[in-house]
Amino acid sequence: MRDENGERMNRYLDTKEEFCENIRLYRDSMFALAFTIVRNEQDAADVVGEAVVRAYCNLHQLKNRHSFKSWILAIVHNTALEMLRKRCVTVDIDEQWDLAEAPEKTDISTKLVLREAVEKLNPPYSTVVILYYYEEMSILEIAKITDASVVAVKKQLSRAREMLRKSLDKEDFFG
Amino acid sequence: MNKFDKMLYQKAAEEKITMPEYASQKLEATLAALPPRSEKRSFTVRFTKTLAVPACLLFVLLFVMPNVSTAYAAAMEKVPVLGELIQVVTIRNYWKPNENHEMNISAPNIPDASQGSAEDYINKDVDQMVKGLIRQFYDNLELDGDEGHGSIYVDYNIVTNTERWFTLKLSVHTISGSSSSYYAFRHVDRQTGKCVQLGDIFQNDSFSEILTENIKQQMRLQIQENPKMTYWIDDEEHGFDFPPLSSDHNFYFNEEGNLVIPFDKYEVAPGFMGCPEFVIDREIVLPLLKPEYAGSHS
Repeated sequence: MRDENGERMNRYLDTKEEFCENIRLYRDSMFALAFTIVRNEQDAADVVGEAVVRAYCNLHQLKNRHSFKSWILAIVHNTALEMLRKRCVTVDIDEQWDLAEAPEKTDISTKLVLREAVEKLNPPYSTVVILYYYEEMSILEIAKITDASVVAVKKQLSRAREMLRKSLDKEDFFG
Repeated sequence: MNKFDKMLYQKAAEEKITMPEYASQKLEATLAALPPRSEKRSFTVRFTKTLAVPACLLFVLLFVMPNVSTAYAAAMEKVPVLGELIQVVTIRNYWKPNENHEMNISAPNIPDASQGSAEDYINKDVDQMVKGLIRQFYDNLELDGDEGHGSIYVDYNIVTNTERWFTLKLSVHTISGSSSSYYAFRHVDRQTGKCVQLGDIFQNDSFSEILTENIKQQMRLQIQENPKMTYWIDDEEHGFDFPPLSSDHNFYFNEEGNLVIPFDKYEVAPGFMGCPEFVIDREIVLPLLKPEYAGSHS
């Protein structure tokens, strides 16, 4: 069986083994999303573990098995935000970064890889880039995962694109 | 899609983010600690009508009856194939009052334990622990109502059951905001008929310092080999350093007969490290053991 993104997933989710199999399939996606929010590998690993336990306890709430990836990523997203709140880390997810006043990325060399540039973005911009470009998810799916409106995600993505365009030296980056 | 978008997709595909090895190991540990599913949603869909009736009968005989009737469970344990040197039956409590709360407890009980025996002590000890957890579950449920989450999972397994040793491991996994896991080991020296704690198997108290130092050395080695590993030792800034092992600290002997010291989640390391365990070299343990326990554990 393939999921909504065409990836091969276990047909069933009834037993622990079937659940674990699907988790392993998306572990990199889960880690990437968690990391982009908590900005720390150890915390990201913690978030993934916590999200897995929550997902397992609430597996009955998953109505459509084809949506497992979106569903588990939504749990990772919420768990990561909860961790940030608990640690009182100030990341204003509604921050309106004025592009005109954005700091010059002098520390980003012309040989900068995309991931480094993404890591310099704040949530929700980094989050939408990870989900859209790395995980190749649709705007609608991202809206569901991040609990935002489609319009808001489109705006965030557009703004994130602009920030990336500014950060990356296009000639070197694109060869 | 414009050129910039295409290039972003292309670069993202080339730079695929992967989970680091140590995080994968932690994830595997989390997955291994998950309790088995309590029900199969597509059970009715996948079962044909012809198989359903005998399967249900078998289910009632094998699973329902032992949980309803202790006498039935005890009788079943005495079937030669299933029998153990010490028989243990499972007393099960399962309740799911709403979508966000679940209690799934499989607690051991040793039937026919005579009053005052080690087996009787274990039964009462486990019973007390389980009642405490159930009370905690009800308290959380009352506080949370339909909001929040709170689940308790308890399971057990028999680590050793020989003519000399009986070791029971109780695994407790609680979820309330964050998750927590811990284990309780109970040992019976069947030669003396007494419950045994870590301190009882050693000649004197020096075991605590020697084992603790050995564990710290293993932790340092692991950190040296993989800087992503974290243990709360040698932390001058915050002063984190776990205290020497107590005489009632958890322990067990593994299949090779080596002493293993397990720690609960968060006891000596951050949550992502799970429940770490350390195997102590036989050369270190043997000189410390009381003569009657040297070589008796394998």
